[in-house]
Amino acid sequence: MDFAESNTPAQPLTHEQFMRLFLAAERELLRYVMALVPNVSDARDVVQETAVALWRASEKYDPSKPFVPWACRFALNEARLHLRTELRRRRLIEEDVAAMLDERRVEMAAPLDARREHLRDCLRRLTEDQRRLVRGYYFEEESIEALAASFNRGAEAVYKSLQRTRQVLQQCIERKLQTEP
Amino acid sequence: MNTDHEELIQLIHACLDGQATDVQASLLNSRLRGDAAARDLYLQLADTHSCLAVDESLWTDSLGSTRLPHFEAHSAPKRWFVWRPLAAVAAAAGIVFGMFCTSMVFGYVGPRVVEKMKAVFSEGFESSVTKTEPGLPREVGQWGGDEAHVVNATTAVKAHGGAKMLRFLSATHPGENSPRSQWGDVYRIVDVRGLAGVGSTVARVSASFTQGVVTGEEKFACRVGAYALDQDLSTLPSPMSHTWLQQNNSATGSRRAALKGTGRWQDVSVELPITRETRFVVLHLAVVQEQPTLKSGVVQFPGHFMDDVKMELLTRP
Repeated sequence: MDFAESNTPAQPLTHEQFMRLFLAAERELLRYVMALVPNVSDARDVVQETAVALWRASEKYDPSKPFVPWACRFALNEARLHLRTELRRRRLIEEDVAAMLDERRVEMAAPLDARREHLRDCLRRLTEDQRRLVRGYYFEEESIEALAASFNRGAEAVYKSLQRTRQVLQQCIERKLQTEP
Repeated sequence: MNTDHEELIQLIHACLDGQATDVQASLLNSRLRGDAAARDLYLQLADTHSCLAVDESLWTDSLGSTRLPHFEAHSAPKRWFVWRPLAAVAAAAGIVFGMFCTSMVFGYVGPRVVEKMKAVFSEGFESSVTKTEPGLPREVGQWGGDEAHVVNATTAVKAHGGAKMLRFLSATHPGENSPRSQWGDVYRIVDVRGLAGVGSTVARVSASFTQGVVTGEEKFACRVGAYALDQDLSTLPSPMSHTWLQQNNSATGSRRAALKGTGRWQDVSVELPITRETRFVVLHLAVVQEQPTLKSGVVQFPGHFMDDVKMELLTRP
């Protein structure tokens, strides 16, 4: 591993303790990885590799310290390994840029949390069709072609709708951030 | 919003969508490398992208009713318990993790069900094989079935791993004389004699598929199947048939998934139990034109590829 971690815990984690910590952190880890590995399937694979690495290193975890930052170091390492092997094929973020993004992401933790809360509200403000489109594309992982068939529209038109809807969401979030006390 | 900002947003979305060209990806990396504001914007959009994809709570509170029935019928089994590919390090350690992908419940199985995993077959089409032999194979070590050739990666379609992959060409093979066929099937027999361990053993078969550009209205799917055989190969009929496999296996499993045509590789896997009596497992990998249904004729596949076919045995004590 290309990062230093030399904490020595008082007692190693049991399986159950490890699982509780991991379960609580998993979604955060997935979001973290997806900043560098946008494809959700690939990101899940990276998180699973991270889980294996974490378990193997769990004796080094210091329970008096937060689990997520510790786990994120492993996730970053696994994401880098993924980027090294997949960069050429998948046109992903380059490794040095990934390191810069990772550094900045730590600093942006609080604003990103706020944006997530606003995202929830902003999703509610979308039209029914916009929500269906966003849900289909992101959460159901449907292709633009499948969505086009479902909406009885052309793929180009659906992709433009998706772009417009993203813009609406982005603007909504920005507005809410500006009106925060 | 200025044009430069809008262009940057489009560039970021192209990358997050996996649609960026080489030029776009290079441009974005350069921009992120030298522009702190661009990095902030990227992180904001990437965070939204990930939340929309993985945060179930966004879709299950007041928005639960927006689910499309169409997708329930066709979506990949990603809400299902799946065994996912493991790192070599995990395999070496003999530890298997399972994951309920989107429910965010990590199903670590604990020492009670720690499994031994043994890789028994792996084909990346990088050497020796150049095409399928016509018809179902009757011996180990041979790809047979409908017409399919090993091809090099192109600028349009990259191999899933390495430089080569198998391209499905036709839903028939020379000598079959089929009047109608929508399935392009390839088969391989794997010898598993003596490999089932003490306890329950499961064979997991996986393969990756992708679809190139399809200009028409056709819809395609892929399928991974496996048949456990307790018979010796000398007892197999000649010619072998899929029907015989269906009628004479001791266990079978299959999984079918719609090909999305996004240019991405889709991993499909299936598991079937095997016992100490199991001698061979016949792998069945296929692509099919689902729509429109043919009344006659044989499908010629416009751009359908497979790579990284694997079989592993998982033994639980």
